Amino acid sequence: MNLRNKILSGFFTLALMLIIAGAWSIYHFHFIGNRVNRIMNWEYKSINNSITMLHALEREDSAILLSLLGNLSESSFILQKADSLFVDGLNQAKSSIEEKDHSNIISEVEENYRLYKDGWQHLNTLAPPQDLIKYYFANTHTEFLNVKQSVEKLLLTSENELYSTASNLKDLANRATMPGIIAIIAALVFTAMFSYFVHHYFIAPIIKINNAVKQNKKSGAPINIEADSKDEIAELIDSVNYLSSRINKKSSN
Amino acid sequence: MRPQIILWYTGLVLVLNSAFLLVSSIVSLINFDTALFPLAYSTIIVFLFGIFPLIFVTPTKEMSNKEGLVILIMGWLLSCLLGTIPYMLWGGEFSFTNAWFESVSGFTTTGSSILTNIEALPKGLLFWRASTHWIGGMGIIVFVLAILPTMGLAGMTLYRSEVSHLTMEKLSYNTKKAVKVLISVYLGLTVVETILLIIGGMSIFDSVTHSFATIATGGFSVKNNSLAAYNNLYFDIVIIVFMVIAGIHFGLIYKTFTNRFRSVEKSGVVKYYLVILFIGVLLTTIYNRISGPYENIWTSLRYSTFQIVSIGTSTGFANANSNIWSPVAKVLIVFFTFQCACAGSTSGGIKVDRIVLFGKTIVKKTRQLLHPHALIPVKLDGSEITPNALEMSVLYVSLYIFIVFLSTLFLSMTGVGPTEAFTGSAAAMGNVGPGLGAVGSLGNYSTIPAFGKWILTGTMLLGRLEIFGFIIFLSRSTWKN
Repeated sequence: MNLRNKILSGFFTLALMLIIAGAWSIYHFHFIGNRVNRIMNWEYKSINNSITMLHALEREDSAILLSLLGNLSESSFILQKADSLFVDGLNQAKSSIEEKDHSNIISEVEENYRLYKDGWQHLNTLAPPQDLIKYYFANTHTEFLNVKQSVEKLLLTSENELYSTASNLKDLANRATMPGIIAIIAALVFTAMFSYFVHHYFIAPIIKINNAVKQNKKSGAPINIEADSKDEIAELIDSVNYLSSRINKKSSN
Repeated sequence: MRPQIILWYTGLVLVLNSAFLLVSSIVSLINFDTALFPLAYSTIIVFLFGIFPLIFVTPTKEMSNKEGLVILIMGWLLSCLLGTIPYMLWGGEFSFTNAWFESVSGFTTTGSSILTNIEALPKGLLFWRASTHWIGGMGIIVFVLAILPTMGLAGMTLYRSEVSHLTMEKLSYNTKKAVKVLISVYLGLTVVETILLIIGGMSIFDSVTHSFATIATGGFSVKNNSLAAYNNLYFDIVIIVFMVIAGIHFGLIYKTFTNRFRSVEKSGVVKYYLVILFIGVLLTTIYNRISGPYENIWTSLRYSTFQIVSIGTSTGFANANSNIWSPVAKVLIVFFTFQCACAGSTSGGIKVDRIVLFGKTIVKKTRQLLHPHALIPVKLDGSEITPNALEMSVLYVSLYIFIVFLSTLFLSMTGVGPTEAFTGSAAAMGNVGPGLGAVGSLGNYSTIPAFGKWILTGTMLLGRLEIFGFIIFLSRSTWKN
């Protein structure tokens, strides 16, 4: 390989190491950005929606108890409001489904809520207060607990997801910085190796030639330098050796 | 000492490593796993480091012994060091210390792991882990010599540095032929074992990685519970057979397959190796049945055979928990951890050849006490052993035990329990892998403190490079011009 290509290969190698490390770090930081976005847009929202649904459920249960006490107008108003709040929370949770696990839990919430809603709508058709209380504890309250349990399951799953994504961020940050660290260390070692080669194969032979020519000028000693490579430096050494032998021949003649 | 020549040959070692990294990247790409970028980047870095000296330096045909030795040690150290890159880039349980431990354990074919959940690793990384065994098993320099177009004196010097005197004894060929014999036996055994495991129903990936680990007598499995995870008698039998074969001198295996079966039959060393393994298995089976965990003699035979052969060949696979075995079985495990298999194989430890020589030296010295003026020759497989070789063997055994003691002492200082410190050190020095206690057959080295892991990796390298080479490498005179 000629001199120019050898030097170029050194710089090319160095540049390649740094470019790949840089590109990879950028990719991973972009990935970290996406993860943070996911935490904010999906996991945090999902937790919020679950909390909203739990609040709505508690209000619905209070409204049912109010209706059992005979306060029908206030109970109906609270029930309507709480129902729309729950449905809103459920729809938002449905619209941002990403994981299959979440989809199953949301379907479970939806089904349990439908049964619960049917139950408290059925309460209005029952007349004597004793029947109402019996029916509430036998059916509606159990259905309420079922919905609550499935919403809490959704909340727990979202919290676990949030924790897992956040703890993955540490690993991702490590993956993003590691190529940079390795590239810096590799570049330092590589630079040391490159400078050794430049010194050994380019600078040292030039110094040798210079010293030999100086010696020749001073004492007329013939120049005989050995080349350690197969490039332009080696050709230069051959030429100097040849020139010196020609001069020596001429002067002896 | 010419640094450019050392750089040229270590460059070749790194190019070879990058080829295996490339294959691991392809495995990762096929499985589309998370190790693709770490492996691809490592391939590029290692390749660039390797190819750069090859561009600049004009190779030489001559090399001094010192240069050969430095190339050997540098080749091993750089392979282990650059082998950590994919682990560190992937992250997970891999800190630098853990990555270094896993890499050294892989290249030296020790097979100890710091991983608590091996199955969490992507397939590409698992393949690289198994590849480190396969590269290290045969010896990095032997692979380099195999890909060199011409050998010359430099090749011979390198061959002498990598291949021990005991190994060369039974390889009566020229260097090129000897390298060819070693590589062809190594490759052939790996291919045959892989095919047999696939026939038995093991997946292709698991078969290849387990064959790499068996023939290299390494012990890295792709399962958390090693071979116990499969609970398959056929796999156990295939692996037992190949572990035993991988523990025999490759030169003898080659001769066996070239119609000279008598070579193996005649070899006293192989006879001793097989007989001592048989006795070990027999005693372990009996004691594990009488005072161990097994209620059935066949169950005891199955697990005892696998585990004793695994330790006795320095492989380190496990199909049972040896921590619950009888005390006699545990003592036998410790014995085999020290002895291991024959020279010229991929096995570690003191080696059967040296144990035989050690025994013969004791007999010779005892006889000489009775007949002080008698000339008593010591022969091994028909050839007379020189007093110098005998002295070296005895010295090696003494030094080996002393290093195990030192490593045990240093490990104890880091707070490691005596059982784990002693058996862990012996297993590291013999490149065996599992010890007893927390570092037992189904355990791992994750609980060892960071400093302890560095001590163990130093011990592994000393064991793999057979002590003297490392001492010469570290001595001042090697580095004097």
